[in-house]
Amino acid sequence: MLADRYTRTALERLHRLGAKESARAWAGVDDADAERRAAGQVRQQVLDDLPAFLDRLETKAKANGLHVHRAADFQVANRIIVEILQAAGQKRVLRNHSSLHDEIALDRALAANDITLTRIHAGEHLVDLVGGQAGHPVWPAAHLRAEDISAAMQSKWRIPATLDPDNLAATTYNRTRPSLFQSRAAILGLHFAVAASGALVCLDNDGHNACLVALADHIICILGIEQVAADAAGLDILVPAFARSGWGQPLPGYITTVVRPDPAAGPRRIDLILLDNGRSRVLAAGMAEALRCIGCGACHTICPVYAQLGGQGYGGFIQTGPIGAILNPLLARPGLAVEQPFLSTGCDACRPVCPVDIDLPGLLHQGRLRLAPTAASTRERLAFWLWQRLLSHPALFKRFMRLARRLFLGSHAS
Amino acid sequence: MHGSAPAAFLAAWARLGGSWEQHANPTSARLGLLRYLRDLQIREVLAWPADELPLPGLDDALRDTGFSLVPADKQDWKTRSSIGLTGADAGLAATGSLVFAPAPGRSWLPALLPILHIVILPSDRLYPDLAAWREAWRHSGREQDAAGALIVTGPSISADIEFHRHRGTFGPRFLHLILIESGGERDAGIEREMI
Repeated sequence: MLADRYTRTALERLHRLGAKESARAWAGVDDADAERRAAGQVRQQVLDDLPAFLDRLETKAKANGLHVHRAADFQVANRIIVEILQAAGQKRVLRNHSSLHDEIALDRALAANDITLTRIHAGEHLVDLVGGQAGHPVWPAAHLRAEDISAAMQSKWRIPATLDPDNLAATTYNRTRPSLFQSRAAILGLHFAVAASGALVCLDNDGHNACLVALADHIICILGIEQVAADAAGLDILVPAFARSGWGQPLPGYITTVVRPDPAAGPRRIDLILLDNGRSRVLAAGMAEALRCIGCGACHTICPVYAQLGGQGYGGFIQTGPIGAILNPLLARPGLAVEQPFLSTGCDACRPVCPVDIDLPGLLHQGRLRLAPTAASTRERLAFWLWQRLLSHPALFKRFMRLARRLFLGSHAS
Repeated sequence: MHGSAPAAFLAAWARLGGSWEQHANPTSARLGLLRYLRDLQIREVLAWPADELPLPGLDDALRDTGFSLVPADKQDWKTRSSIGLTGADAGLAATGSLVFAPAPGRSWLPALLPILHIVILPSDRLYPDLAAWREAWRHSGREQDAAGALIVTGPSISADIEFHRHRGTFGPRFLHLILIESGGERDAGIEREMI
């Protein structure tokens, strides 16, 4: 379903400005292609031997004093989180900006257990305020216009209307910032973890992750199992790659790394949840390349289909954009999301912008081939068969076009 | 200085929108800091303990001139002070980044919460880039003991509303650097008269 024209205007801004900033950041790199290939290799090296790297990470994290849990799916992850919070007597908890929370439907799970969850990140908070779902992994509120945000603030917070972005941003932070001091527990979706050291890493530009780590007594960290870096050297390749592609900067504003509990200046307890939730199935299907994705959203930003659909056009799936169109059919129940690999114009714009060198057009093509028999209805398949026959017989095609012209254009046809 | 000129760091720092002052020795840096605080008309600063700040004699100089350092206690409302004062473990010349490794007394909060963050950085803590710092950190043996690290590049920024860049969101809107070349020491009491 196409996004409405207002949303498309907002997405056009993302397409224009986001892609430009990212291109500018990569232009500052001597050999950008080599850098992307190196980042892709760093990711692939881990994915090729993921169980061993996960074991190494778990061992190291436990040695660092963390409590490590493995969650096969989102239900198990939620159960673990709820049990941890209930055991700690926490009724209020903060969450950072991460699509992992949406992937496991954390908000609903905590609400069902009378635990209040506050989204501390402004973009996510605004999506929550206006309604709907985050449409972009890095810019969750990119599809919202100042008018939408102002109207929501007027009706829910009773504040005067304004379209000044600075004013709206300041209002949002004035609302969310006090929450930092009202809870001693936080749930962090991680960008990466380092197998060699057990370090857990979050990236952002506003510093909300560092604030959560510095202020919370207890943090629960969620890591998608594919987001492991072998060592610090690998991390130092991935982090700038993410920053350039996601934010158009050489480095993120804040790189927050947590290794162990720190009663003096940080959290006293750290839980780490290693979330599978279908990722092993993707690996088993021979689609490891798709799991290289580091969630920078560059393929969303550049994609002309995404610019027309927005995140909401991907059927409520959390993963959106070209990478979502590849992963969703693999992660969803059989028969669901089968049309998503067809959400492509074949323009290949996503291929050169991927910071970890994923052949997105190739994987989309593979997905189409794999799903074609189930994606199309009998009627659609018949129509395509007829169309194919017409195209391969020029004389028949000309006669068909003449007939079609007469039928649809009537007497105006020449 | 690890082969990295302060000029490179300052150029990157300026691109990030930070202000700075460069001092030839700690005495001059202390004076600069005291003048800067005086101009802000602020008497309390959320800060690391004076002995954790890389500026010898600062505690006495602040006391003599009527300023006080408020410790960053996460349980305390004063963590919401409007000015933060810290040192930094390193500065990365390529990006103008600051590195903070947690240590007793060196809370991240003064660098995260106030609207203005003042950072004192001796020039011998400058490294060319992230990889160079990480290498040095590994060799120092501190990496094994550290509970983590925070690398900050520029002020706290968001662009969530129509891609408009808003400075000073969760954290600092303004950054001020006091960069000190290595040099001699002298009695801190003299600064009271000089400012």
